[in-house]
Amino acid sequence: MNRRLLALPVTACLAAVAGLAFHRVFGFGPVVPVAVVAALVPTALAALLSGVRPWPLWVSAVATVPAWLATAAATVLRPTLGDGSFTRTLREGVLGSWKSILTTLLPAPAEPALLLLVHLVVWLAAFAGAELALRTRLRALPGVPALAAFAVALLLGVDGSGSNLGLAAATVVLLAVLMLLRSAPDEEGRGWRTILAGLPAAAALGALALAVGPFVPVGAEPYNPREQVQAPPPQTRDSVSPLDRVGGWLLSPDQVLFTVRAARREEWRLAVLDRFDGVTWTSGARFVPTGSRVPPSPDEVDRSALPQTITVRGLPGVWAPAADRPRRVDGLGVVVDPGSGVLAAVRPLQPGQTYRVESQTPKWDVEDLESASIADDAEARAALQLPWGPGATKEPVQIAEFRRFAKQATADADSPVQRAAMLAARLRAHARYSVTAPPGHGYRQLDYFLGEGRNGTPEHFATAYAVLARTIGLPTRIKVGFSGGHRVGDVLEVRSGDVMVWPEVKFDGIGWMPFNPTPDRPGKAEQDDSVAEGESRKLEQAQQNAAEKKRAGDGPNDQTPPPAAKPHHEEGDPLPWWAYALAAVAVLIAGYLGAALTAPALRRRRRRAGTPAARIVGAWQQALEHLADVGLGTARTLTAHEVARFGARHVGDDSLAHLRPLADLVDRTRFAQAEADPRAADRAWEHSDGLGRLVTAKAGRLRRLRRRLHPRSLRPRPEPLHGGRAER
Amino acid sequence: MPVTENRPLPDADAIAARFAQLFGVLAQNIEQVVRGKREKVELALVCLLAEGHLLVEDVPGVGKTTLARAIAASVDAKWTRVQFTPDLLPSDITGVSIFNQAQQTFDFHAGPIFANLVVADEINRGSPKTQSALLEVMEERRVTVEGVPHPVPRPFLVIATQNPVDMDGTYPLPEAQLDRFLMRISMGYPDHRAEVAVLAGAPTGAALDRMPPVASRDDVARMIEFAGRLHVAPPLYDYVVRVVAATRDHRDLRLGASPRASLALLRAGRVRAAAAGRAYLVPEDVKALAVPVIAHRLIVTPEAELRGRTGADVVAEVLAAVPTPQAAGV
Repeated sequence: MNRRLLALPVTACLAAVAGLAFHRVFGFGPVVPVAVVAALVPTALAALLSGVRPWPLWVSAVATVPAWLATAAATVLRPTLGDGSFTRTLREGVLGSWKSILTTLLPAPAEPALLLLVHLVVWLAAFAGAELALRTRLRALPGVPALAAFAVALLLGVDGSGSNLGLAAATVVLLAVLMLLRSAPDEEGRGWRTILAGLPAAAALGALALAVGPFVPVGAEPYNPREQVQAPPPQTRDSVSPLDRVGGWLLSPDQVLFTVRAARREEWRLAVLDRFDGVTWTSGARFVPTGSRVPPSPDEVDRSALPQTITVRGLPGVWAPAADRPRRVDGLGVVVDPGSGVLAAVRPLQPGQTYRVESQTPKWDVEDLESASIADDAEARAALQLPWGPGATKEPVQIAEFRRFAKQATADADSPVQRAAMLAARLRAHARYSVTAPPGHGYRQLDYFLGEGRNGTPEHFATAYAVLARTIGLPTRIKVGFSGGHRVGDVLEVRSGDVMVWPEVKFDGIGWMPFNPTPDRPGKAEQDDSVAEGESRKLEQAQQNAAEKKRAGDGPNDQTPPPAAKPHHEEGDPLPWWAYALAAVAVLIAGYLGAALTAPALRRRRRRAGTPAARIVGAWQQALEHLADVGLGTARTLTAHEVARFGARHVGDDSLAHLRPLADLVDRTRFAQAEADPRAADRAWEHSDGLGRLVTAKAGRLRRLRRRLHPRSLRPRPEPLHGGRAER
Repeated sequence: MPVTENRPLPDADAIAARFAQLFGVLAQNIEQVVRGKREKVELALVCLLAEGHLLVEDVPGVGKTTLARAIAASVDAKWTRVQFTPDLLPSDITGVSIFNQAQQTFDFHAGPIFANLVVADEINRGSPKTQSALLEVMEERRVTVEGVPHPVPRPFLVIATQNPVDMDGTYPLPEAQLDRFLMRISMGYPDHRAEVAVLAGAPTGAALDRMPPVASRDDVARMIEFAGRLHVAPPLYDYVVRVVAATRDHRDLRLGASPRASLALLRAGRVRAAAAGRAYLVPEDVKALAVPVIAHRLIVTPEAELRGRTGADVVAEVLAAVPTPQAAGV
């Protein structure tokens, strides 16, 4: 069988494996059939078109386009044929699917438009690989398109779960097999022996890649293209901040905003505002389409499931209420902020819309709260910012007062949780709930609220708490939502008066924990805000426990624990990455030097072996290699005596004493009818060696060494054209 | 010299050595009067032994006739000279049948073509009809008069000359007829030393007459026989065809070389190989003879001609591009 055709299954496998690398984007299930089909069809097409008389490349390139369209229509785009969305999906899949994947959470939904990208990339890799295998001689070149496809899959799946190590090892093995197939000699029998001998080496190479891969030191986070592609910021989704709606809702508290069918009352979160510019609170959420899924929260608290069915009544805007933290949303097109889990509808909410949400609500552990420390990640540090305000050139005087107020309020606190809880308690005692308080939450309004006014809505209490907490180093943000609701029949009716604003403080390992600095609303008979109430109890319990521990620790024997000894990094620490890199470079250099210095000796040994005719031709090859050291580029179009004349010009006339007899011998070996005899072969090698000495004297050992170390010296030299006679 | 194509003979090398020796003696003998032109002399001998014909394109007085006479004298052969003029008739070359009243029969009176070496001087001055008559004999090696074929003697070599300078009143040889010549060479002026030697030695007609024959016609016939059966390795057939075929789609050529050129190149190469004492052809032989054998069969495009390109340039370019059979990459 044609060796080039034999390489096609390998290129198809390489493309399929590259396609499987998309499993980090979609999971294995949806990817496997797409990758297999997209790898096999173009390969088969290329094989058919190669035939006895290969078609020009442009014919293959043109033929593959309708073939791809037909295959895509019959497979990944089949669901779109019935509903008339084929053209739109095709356009979106080809032009916009990469961006859709980069802006969604992984695993991405296995939608036709997104899977089309896998189909296209694998198809292109398989097509290009097959054509390169059929039309070129470079051994590894047909594997390059599959590697490019693999790279695309890696880039798109950076955030995905699972490992590509096995696929990478398979790629290494397939590449080795490909090179083996394309480098094996064409002779019947000999080629197969080479392939069979090389297969164990290829398998060993793959096993080595599999074993060593996990230990390869990585000095930096992988490049994440998602950081370059972002969804529109939330400001463009809703021009009115939910915080600004609070005052209005409280003034007309009986407006039914939405109803919830759920097993228990919860706080129904609407939005999270984490950026404060000195005047207003805004959201820094980065909303992405995630299908119907919401990624889990990174904190480690226990959670309990709470399914809800929410029906919109009078709620305006795009923020979709749900219990924190939602995990799945059905019945409403939403985008999600992966950080906070806040939901925003793709289009403004309409009365009567119903959607189902499955949430995992947190269950706080008192033990965890007692020992919780302040988070110190990037998000927490951003939640400590207190900008001076737009246009301000110096720090507002109120900030210092706020800091003094907060320190006084938390002077007796021993732990961050205590500080947070004491600050909330102080605010609850410091001011009264009043729906008539003027809205606003800038520094001046808060200064008035804390100083003279002492009347406020949850907006004032929560924003004041957030600013105060930030002055004493508690990373804080604002959450807007609704408490509980009123049970009417089997549903909870959430009205505008149920609106609530909470501050949330971020603790290490726990995440954002809400506090309630707002006193009870006067005249509110029924306590609906179950979460805030439960939270207060847990915080009180945590504070009490901490206080008890503090008392037990007081006394003469209480000593400040000595600072922890500096850990010894010298023992047991892994070597730094650069040590691995240096070692790898050293191994590579040593391997290269070994190969470069050994290859000529091996070639020479091979040339000296065989029949007398083969030895004479080998001596000639060796002579050509000698002459390469004095500038002989190629002898393709030169006769043996022309080469001899070249040698005389560049090495000296002395070389003719070797080159002429050698040229005669090689001419006789190749073109005469008489058999070559062993003595002639010995003479040929004597002449070749003699020429080598002359060349060394002429060119110098340094130049010869430099040439020997050149990568070209590793390249196997082509056999003489029509060299069959040398086998006699 | 019984040599077969497929079966190597133990004495093939010895025969080749004898061939080379005789070839050297012939060349040396001719060089006594054609001084400083060893290469041209050898090419002419190659033509003789390959049973081809030679076209010498050069100005008068450079030794064209002397070369022909020297070859004829060296091989103990009969030579004639025909001066081509516009009124020369074909029968002036081939001969005529004249009625013999005594015997009541037509007697054929052979023309000057019936010689071993014929010098057709200034062939382009003859009418196309006369040129055709000569070229027909060159190809078929016989003259048919009154339905009776009259073969020309062996060896048979026509050395035609033409003056490339004075072209007025001439009939340039068409390409089809140029193709009949195995080689086209230019004698060229002798170098200074050779010309001095010519003056000193004065190789006049008398000197030529005193030249001793160094080979018999039988020797020449045997040499022709041996060269014609000289071993050619299959890759060399391929090489010859590649070289000739490369001229056919060359951008600077309006007309490339025909398969007759391939045959001629192989035939001449065999003689050169034997002259070098080898019983086998090597690519060196093909390369050495490619320009004189192929160049005159090519027609260069007007554009290339304006650039100064010649057929010889194109052949040299082709030789530099076509891989030789023994080539090995470096």
